[in-house]
Amino acid sequence: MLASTRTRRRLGNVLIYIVLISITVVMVFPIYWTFVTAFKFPRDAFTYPPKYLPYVQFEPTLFAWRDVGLIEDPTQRGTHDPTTILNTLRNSVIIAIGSTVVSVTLGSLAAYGLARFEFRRWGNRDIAFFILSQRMLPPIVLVIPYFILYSRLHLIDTWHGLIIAHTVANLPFVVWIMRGFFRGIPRELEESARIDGCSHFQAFRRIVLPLSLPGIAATSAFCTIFSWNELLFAITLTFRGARTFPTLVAGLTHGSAALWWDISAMLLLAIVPVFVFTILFQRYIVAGLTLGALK
Amino acid sequence: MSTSALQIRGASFSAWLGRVFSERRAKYYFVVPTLLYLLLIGIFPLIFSFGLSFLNWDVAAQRPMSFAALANYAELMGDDRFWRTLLNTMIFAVVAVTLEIVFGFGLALLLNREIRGQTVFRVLLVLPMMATPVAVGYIWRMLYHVTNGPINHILRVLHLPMGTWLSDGSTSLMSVIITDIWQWTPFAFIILLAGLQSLPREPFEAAKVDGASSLQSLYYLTLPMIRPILSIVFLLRMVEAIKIFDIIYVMTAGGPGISTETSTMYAKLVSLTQFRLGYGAAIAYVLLILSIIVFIILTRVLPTEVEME
Repeated sequence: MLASTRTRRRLGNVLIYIVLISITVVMVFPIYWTFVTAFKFPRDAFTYPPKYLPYVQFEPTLFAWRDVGLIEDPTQRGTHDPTTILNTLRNSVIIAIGSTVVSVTLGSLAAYGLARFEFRRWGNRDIAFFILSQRMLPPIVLVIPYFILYSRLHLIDTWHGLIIAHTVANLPFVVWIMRGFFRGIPRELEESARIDGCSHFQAFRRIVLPLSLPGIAATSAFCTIFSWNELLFAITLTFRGARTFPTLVAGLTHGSAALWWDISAMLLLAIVPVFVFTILFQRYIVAGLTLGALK
Repeated sequence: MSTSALQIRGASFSAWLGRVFSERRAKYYFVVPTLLYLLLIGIFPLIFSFGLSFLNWDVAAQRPMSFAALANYAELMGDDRFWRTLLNTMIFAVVAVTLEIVFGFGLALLLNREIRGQTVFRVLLVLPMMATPVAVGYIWRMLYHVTNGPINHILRVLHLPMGTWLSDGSTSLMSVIITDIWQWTPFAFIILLAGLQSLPREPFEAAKVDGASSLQSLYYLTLPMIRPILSIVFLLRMVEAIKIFDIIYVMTAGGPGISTETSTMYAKLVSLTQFRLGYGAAIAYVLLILSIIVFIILTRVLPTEVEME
């Protein structure tokens, strides 16, 4: 009797593992496919039947990486111009960092204000709702006026122009998550600092901020990833000098036949940094997401 | 003379600084920068856009700008393409988000136990959500390719009927929805898993002692307790799904025909490709109002207190 329940439980566990592993395989397969395609010769990349396994079904190669110009090779003339790729990557990095710094700075201050003080005239609820509502509106409503205003103000195709736009989307998120974090920090710590003569701002900077570094890390990671991934604002507000990497990639196949091995290589340039970020900040990201959603 | 004047000025300046940055007002300095920012960069363009929707501003036709009154909105009423894009957006959002929650909840239930390698599963399963949408669009274009793509190949090996996926207007919207489900099921999964792990243990132990089956405790205990979180996930995802632009832009650019065109894409096409700025703004505004309505209905209908406080 006892033995049978134990074997049943073990069987159940095996079954759960099988289901979990197959789901994970399905979820990861699209990413795997991009990886293998980026290391195929054109003759292996778009054939029937498709080739799944490197070394078994096809010989992996750096052909695509030479073709996009990221690996120099005098014997192979690249199809793409590497300077465009590198420039757009640089733009994406600058814009993502810029927007993250601005939104995390402004947003944490606001979050702290909302978590600790009472605003009688406006009401904390209303302020919080106003800030959050900015995240809910469809961005296309902002994109059209931005395009017109930016053209007049010479902000089109500039780093700071896109940083300003991305910050509007990131700010509400930062406020939302950081407010939860600040609430979790006991008030007594700041109160004793205040008694020792700290101003509100000093108490925030010296006591609260160091304690909320995990929260700051999580929100920074999210802001950076959002800005790095964003397309709609980027594609309307930048086109040459400040063009971002996703914008470049999005325009690759309109009109011409797709060179899938090259495209896959470029897709890896977009997603691998994000994945590295996700894995590094894994704990914080989960915490940030759930805190943002659950409270 | 000059030193004393400077001193006085310096003293009064610091007094002024002291007054402006008094501790009593300190709380405003935390909040006001963000509020000003959002007013200037968020609300002002919104009002600008509202005004724009009442204008005839056709840059490409090189006619002078003129007041259109409600003409843009009247045109919108009779614009079949607009209504089709709105329908596409709504079908996309409702179907995708519902299935994301079903699958995400299932996955969360599977992983909500002491299991080896939980972190590995969690990290791997979360990756799609973080991937750049442009990349996601391209990746699925490769997968969906009718003759050479792996999906149809696998279906053929399994002797299942192959799909037309993105190449046919009758299956394109469904295919785009599948991609979105792939990308965003992880979001529902992660939040619901955290929700499940935060539930109290005692009711489940009591139910077990009383001889309840695991299905019974799922239905009578887990579901009622997790329902507010299910609602929040639904709400958050709906708000995002209505905005959908990037993956579809890359996968189909709205095609074939307009079978996958969403309202955001149409508004962008009208205003930033055809440069009919007034009409584009009107489309965007209707989309805005509709998403506000959806939000209000959902917060009323769903069993959730959307925590603002």
